[in-house]
Amino acid sequence: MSNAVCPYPGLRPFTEEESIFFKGRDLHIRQIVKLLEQNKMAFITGASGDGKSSIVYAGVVPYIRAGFLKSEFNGWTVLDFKPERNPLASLAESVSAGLGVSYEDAYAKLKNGFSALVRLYTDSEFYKETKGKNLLIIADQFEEVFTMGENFQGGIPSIEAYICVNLLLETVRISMMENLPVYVIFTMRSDYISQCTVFRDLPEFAAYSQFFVPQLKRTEIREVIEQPAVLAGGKVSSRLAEVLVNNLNSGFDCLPVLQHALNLLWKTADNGKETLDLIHLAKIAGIDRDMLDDDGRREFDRWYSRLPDCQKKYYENPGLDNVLNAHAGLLYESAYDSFMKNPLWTEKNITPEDSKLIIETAFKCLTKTDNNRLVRNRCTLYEIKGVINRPDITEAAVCGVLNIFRTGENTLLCPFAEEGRLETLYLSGDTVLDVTHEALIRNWKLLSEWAAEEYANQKEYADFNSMVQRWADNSRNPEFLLSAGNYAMFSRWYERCRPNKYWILKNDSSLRSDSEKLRAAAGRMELCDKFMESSREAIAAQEKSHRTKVAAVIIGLLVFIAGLSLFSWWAVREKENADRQAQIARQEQNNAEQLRVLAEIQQRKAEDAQHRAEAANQTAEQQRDSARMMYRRAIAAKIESDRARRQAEDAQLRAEYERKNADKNYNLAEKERQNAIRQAELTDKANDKAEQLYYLALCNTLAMKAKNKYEDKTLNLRLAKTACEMGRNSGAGSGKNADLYDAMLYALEQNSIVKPLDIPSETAVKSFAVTPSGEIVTVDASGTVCRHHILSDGSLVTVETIGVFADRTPVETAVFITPNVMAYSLKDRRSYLVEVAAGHQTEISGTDGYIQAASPSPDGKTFALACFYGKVAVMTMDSGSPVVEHDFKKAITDVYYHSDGEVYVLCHDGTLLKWDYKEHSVKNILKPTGRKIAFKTAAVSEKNLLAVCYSDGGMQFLSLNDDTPSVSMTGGHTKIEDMVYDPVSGILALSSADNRITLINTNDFDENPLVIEEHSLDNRDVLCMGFNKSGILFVITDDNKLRFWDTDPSAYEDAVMSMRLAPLSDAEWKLILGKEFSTKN
Amino acid sequence: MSINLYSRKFNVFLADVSSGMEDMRRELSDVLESAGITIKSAADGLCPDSDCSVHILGKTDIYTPGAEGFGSKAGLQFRAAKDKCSGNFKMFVWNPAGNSLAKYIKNIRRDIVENIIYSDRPSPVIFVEDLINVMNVRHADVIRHEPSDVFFIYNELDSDTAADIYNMLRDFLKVKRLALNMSSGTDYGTYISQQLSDSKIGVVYYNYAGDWAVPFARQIWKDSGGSSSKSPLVVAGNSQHATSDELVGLKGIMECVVDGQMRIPLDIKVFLDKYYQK
Repeated sequence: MSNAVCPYPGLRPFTEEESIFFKGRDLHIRQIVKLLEQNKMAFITGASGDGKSSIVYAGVVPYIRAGFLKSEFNGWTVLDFKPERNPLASLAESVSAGLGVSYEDAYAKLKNGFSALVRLYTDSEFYKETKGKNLLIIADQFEEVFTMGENFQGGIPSIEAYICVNLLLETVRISMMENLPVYVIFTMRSDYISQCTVFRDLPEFAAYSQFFVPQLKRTEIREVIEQPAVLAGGKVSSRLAEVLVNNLNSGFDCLPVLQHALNLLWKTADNGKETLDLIHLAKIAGIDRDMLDDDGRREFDRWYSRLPDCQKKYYENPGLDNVLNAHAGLLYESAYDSFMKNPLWTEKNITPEDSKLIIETAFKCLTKTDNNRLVRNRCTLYEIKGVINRPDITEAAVCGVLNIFRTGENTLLCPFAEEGRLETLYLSGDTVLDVTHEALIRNWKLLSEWAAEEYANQKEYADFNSMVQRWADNSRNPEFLLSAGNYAMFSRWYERCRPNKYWILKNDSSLRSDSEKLRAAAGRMELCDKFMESSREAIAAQEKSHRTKVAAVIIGLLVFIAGLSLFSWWAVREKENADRQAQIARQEQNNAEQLRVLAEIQQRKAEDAQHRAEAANQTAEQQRDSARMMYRRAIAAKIESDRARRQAEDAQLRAEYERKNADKNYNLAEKERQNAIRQAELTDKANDKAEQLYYLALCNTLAMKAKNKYEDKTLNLRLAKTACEMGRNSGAGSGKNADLYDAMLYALEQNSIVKPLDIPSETAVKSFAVTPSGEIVTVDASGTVCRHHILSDGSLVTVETIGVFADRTPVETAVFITPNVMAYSLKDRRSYLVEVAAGHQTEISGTDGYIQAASPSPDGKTFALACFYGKVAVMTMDSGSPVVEHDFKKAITDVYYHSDGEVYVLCHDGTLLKWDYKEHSVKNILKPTGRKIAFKTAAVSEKNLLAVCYSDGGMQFLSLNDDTPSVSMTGGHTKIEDMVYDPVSGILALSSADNRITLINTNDFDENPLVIEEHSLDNRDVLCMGFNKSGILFVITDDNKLRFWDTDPSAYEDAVMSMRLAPLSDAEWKLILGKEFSTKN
Repeated sequence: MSINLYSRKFNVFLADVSSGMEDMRRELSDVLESAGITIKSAADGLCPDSDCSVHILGKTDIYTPGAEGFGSKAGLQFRAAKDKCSGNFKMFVWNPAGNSLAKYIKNIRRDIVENIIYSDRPSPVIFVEDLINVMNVRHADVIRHEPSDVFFIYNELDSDTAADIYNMLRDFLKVKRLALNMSSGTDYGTYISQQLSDSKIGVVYYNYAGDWAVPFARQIWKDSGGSSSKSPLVVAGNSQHATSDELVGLKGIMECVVDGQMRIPLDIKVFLDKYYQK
């Protein structure tokens, strides 16, 4: 038993190929498929890690591919996409790949929104009958429409996101209205459901067909654990299953954590060759060794002792929620060794510390904090390399070190690397890396620490950046540079975080293009560096200036002390001089006292002069105020006059406006008057129409009632007659009203006016023909050919038994080529050609199996004869000798001799071939249908059309002018078994397996066809059909009865109207209508 | 979405407990009664006629040979229930205190076999919810099926060619056939699984319906036990209409794609003989 396939995918979702191992959700899958069947869409929501993607890809898709969703076609085309950074582009990419159109074409058409997506499908080969496939569109991780900054900013969706949502919703709407085989599935985290309101109609559609992924119950979790192993030929011990079920925490991530643990368990148990048990769980740090029995503990201890010391720490706190932490931690520890041992990489100039730096930086880049939650953040290898910002660490080295997280064994990062596929091992710089599941972020403790550190760095950067911006906004004014304290703090952060343009780019969620973002990030980085540099210079300059000031103060002090000593010596000398000067000063004081008295006298004189000047000044000010008042009055007068002028102008404008309004009102009134006249005319017409509709409804109601069984069978006739009267009253006439036609037939049958005629034959009639004189020629299973005549009283008499042509072998098939020439095959496969009038027959040689069909040439001299197993021959009408023959090596159902040299051959598989027997060429006109069987052809001669009917009731008309398909339509509810055309009336009669005959008017394909219902055939199978030259349809049923109907309903209408029948009484009207009949009703 | 409206018509035997756990037993008894579950008493035996039993673990070990309470009624009931754990009888071991580090609890967990369910949910309501969930697992109804050599399945669209193959096969093998009409809405899954288990080999045949046959075979493989199923599945059909790459690697599923469909019956016979010779 090979257990190479691991049935547990780990952290990544199940793929469609792995669906066979997807268990525990069977009921939910059926419920979603039912939603799709009913509503054409399913909006699947649930918490993170609930398995929404898995339920779709591994559950719903394989289930419907296996045919468990009832739809139009057998096969399915699945278009799936994730919105990512441009939802419309992602959808176009998926459409391009799935429907075989170029990406540019798809994008250009989808940009128009609305029906564009549906039309791309209906115009594709996947909507053609032969290659038809149903369409399933999956919008996975639809929350990316909200989480990606490019798609949704400030509560407003991008144009691309809006168009994408419009396309998906319109696709659902059109699919429902036109009943197209198109289905749409959305998967979205439920925490984003409230944001759906930003898209028009999305909340309504979501609520209309929502499926909330339920939490798994205990038995379902056991299935998830045990069943995949069983399917892959392995086994899980009951005790392990119980430990896993009990140790599983409810809430976020329980399923991814479980799947990851199961994946490791399977590998630890020698790829499932051993029964998965507690010892394996202990080896992946999922359970305490004390839980093991003695043997298990010994085995575990032996194994544990061989582990490197750096790995043992991950076994200190075992538990199911530790398995992922331990796994990721062990990969982190061993990444360097794994990289160095890999012979595929030649460039290996990195140290173990570099390896850890690469992993730390990569995972910091691949996570971000969104609304206080750690979430994934996709980024390219090139961006990660940029953030590392070390010239000695190349992209190849980054890829090589990270590969251990991407291998098929581990799958913690995607895209996954596959052993032996170099293109998956060596990634180009623009490859987008992503964490496989957010459960890794929440469960790997080291990554949580890194993410917290990164978050702190981002917050510091935000502070720093605001300061940089303030400095830039103020023309780089030195006053806005960092203070010494702030500078020291941010220098430490700069040193620790080592920001660069790629690091800044990582936090940019604007709608700009990548190159623009990178340019902006480089500019910002340059500005930050300049800001730091300027701050550093400013702080240095400040310190220098401070030092200069201190030196100046010290020198000043020294100078001051020297100066003070000098000053003391100078002061002693000066004191002596001062004493001398004091004496001189006293004399000077006396002189000054005299001068002061003189000055007081002068001051008083000056004060008198000032008083006088002030009085003159007051007079001047009074005169100035008076002048100002005069000026203000003049200004007020001017304003008043301006206002009056403006009022006059306004009045003039209003008058003009009122005049125009009056003109307009007059025009409107005139229009209204004319409208009223038109409305009155329309009302009259509507009244007439309503009356017509009333009578038409009455006609239909009475027709329906006429199809009921009554004790008094004349009531059927009276109802039918009254229905005809109502039809005529309606103005439209009873015309080609299918219900009325059926009602008349029923009433006439009930009263034995139309009745089947017994054919006096002991064995089943095989075929018949109507002669130009209206006689019926039949051939039965014993080979007896008789001529019958229908008398005027409606009875059938056998005029002549022409002959018994078969020997004792029963007839298997018989075909009238003309009323006078008939071909038949016996059970033993011998075939004969009979000339009826002459009463002699010739054996046809070289036929292969039974004769299936025959068709006369337009000139009546030859005919084409087809045998079931593929042989078609052109023979002379008089002797039956073959002119030419061809073996088509296919089962043949019908043949049509179109013109000299051209024969159309219809094959069982739906192929229509054109055989030019003069040129010996065969041309394929219609390809095999792939799912339906073709039964019969009929030529609609005056239109030069050929009709082909199929097992599903469908019909295809083919133009014989250029052999191209023309009209296609539904001819019956089920398999069409026979078809005959009346060139006089243009009616094509189709008998179907539900024992009904549909009459299609080929002069007007839009006209509703009349139907001869099963009651007219007594629910018997139709054996053969034919028209006479008056347009009467003759049918022989399997009870050996001949039935005939006029396909023109007016014939029956005239017959019914001409009957003398009592009108319906008031009581009968009340019974039929539930109220009294009134012509004014 | 649907809501479970299943009945709770099963009997639970609530075993005696070690000292100190009487209140918890009473609380659980009230919750079980509130949930509409019938509780059987122990008056008439160690483990009376019931569909399942519940044993509450406490601080005292009464389950390990040599332990103080080993001979107690609760201990005897525990061992009696364990002996009865086969067929449809289920034994629930509830550890509400969550003291999973106790040595005797570790022993019990190590000894868990089929039909023993261990739970350390602290709330009796959650424990009873789990109990109801386990006891109400619905087994599929048994649909009438009969032993056969070949279980021959095909899509109704391929009826004409399938009929020829069926006629040839039944000349030398006992064949049970099933024509699927996928638009009929019939649930074929249960019947196919049961009939397949009673047939030596299953054959999914296609002519035109190749798009359908391969995914359908995968679904059948999954529903009928995959690699552990005793009856292998053969996918046989016309190479022009499908490829069966998706089947590669699935143990117990074979393919037999041929150009001339009249060879298919012989290939099936050869395959059947070879498979059962092994």
